[in-house]
Amino acid sequence: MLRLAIVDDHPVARRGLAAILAEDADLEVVASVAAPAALPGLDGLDVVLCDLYLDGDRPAVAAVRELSRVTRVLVVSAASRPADVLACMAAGAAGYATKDMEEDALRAAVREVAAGGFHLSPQLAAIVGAAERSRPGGGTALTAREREALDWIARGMTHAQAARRMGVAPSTVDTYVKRIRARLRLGNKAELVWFARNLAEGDAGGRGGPTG
Amino acid sequence: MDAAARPADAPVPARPGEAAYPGEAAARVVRMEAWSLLATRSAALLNVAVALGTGAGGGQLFGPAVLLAAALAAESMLLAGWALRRGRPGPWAGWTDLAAGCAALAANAALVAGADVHTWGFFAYPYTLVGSCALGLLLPRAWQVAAGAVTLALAYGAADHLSSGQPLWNAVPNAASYLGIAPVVWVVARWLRRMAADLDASRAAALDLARRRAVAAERERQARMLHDRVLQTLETLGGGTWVADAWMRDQVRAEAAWLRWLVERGGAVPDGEVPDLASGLQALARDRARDGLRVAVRFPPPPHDDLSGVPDAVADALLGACREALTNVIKHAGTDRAVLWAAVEDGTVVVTVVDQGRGFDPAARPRGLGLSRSVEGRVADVGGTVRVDAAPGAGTCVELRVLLPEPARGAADLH
Repeated sequence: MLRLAIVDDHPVARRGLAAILAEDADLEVVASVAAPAALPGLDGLDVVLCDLYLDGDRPAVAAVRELSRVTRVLVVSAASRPADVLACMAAGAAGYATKDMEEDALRAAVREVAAGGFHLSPQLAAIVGAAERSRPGGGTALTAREREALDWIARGMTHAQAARRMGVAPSTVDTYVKRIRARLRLGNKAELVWFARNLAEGDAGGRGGPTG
Repeated sequence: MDAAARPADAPVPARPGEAAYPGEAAARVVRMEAWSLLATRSAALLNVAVALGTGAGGGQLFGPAVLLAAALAAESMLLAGWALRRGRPGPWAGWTDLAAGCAALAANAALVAGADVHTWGFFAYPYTLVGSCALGLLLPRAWQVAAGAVTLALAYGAADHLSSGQPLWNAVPNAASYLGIAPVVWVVARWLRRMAADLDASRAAALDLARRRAVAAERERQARMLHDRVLQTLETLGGGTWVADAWMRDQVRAEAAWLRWLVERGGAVPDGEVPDLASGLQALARDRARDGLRVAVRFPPPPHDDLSGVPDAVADALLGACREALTNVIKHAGTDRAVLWAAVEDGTVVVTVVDQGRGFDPAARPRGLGLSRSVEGRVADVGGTVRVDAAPGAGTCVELRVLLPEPARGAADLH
């Protein structure tokens, strides 16, 4: 039995997430609160599902960093600015899921994170891929094969599908994903600044949309 | 949304009347030119008045001189009055004024005798000299102004020579004065007009930017409200078992997905008869939801999500091909999920249709009939290619690629 907590300022979203998780008898939601401070205690929690924007507009990077010290955090958001997602990954989050994802995929993501893994959702793969492409000077932190894996996952492929397309073993793609995570964790502040700048500039036409 | 509900700091949408900046600086320059015309002509007529005053006892043909002066005054006031009331007159006014000046020089020379040409009696000279400012204001081209000034100089020289009987070179210093005035006025006026045009252009650009920002901010505010109050609830209802009927749940999901897409692009509803590729894919996903297929539509982060440069014919072909590929998923894949993904990379629009259904063995099966004809045919018609990856039990990926024509390649190519 995995013990989960939900942190989201939107009551309907909290209830919806809880209902999706409740369909799996192995998942138990022990707390569902609007802010991290309201969590009764982090002891024994396997995963905290944390909304990216807890107070409307600012990303909950600090909260993710605090929580990641003691437990595993799966960032869950509807819309988001790519740079905010990357900042949360650098702060130690173990994955990024979106509120409109399929229920079974969400439950799988939670189990993956609870097992100590990293959930590279298609959206996160797309964000990391875009950030890679926009690196100044054309340099890259990932190998060409890692970037290729990112591209296929962004298009909705499973690791196994991506592996077949790339002509490698599925375990090789798993390894790529681990390396990508390590790379994200190492991301220093300067890199996040250019992630943010490059993505924000591409975002200038008001496409950022609201956050939540 | 009524005014009372609008927060005090909310941007006020632009009024439609502000759409075109009127060119205020340019209008002020036209006004200033008209006043300059009036001022220089008044100064020129002052010379005439002084001449008539001092020449009154000179025993000349005083009556005709007064008549000539009156004609000059009438012409000047007509010109300045026109400019003040109706704006900058056309070049015709310049040529007319030039003709009047030459005629005045000839008439005045006929009225004064011999040495009197070099006295106040020849008032047409100072009058035309000061009045030639008008040529610089009224004639648009440099050569026209130069020709006008030279014509006046020649007319003066001829009048002086014929009337005084002195050698032609004697008139050169006075005649040369004409060459300095109109060209300088022309240069300064041209410079002012250009400055005014630049100023108007930058003001118009600033206004336009402010208006577009206001519109974008208002849209974003409304999108945020939709997001916070409607969308999250709709998305929650589309999941789980809140809605008992599976078909209805799919509708809710599909509408929520469309609303999310709308909200994330800043609330701008695409206009025009032909939907662009992005909205076409969204519409396709909603259509397929009615057949029980849940289609997630995804785009990469900017700038690779900019599909606006995809020509209509290519978008039509890709949408048709995607529709067929999704039909194949419904018929053969044995799954109710699929993912559509579209991006522009290196000047190529790439669309993939991925499912995790039962797949097929491309070697054993002679390319699904539907796939080869309806998908590959459509994409090949616009010069694109199709790649199908599939394996039994491991889903299918159909990838469509079309190279975009040069001018349509967008910002995505800068990387």
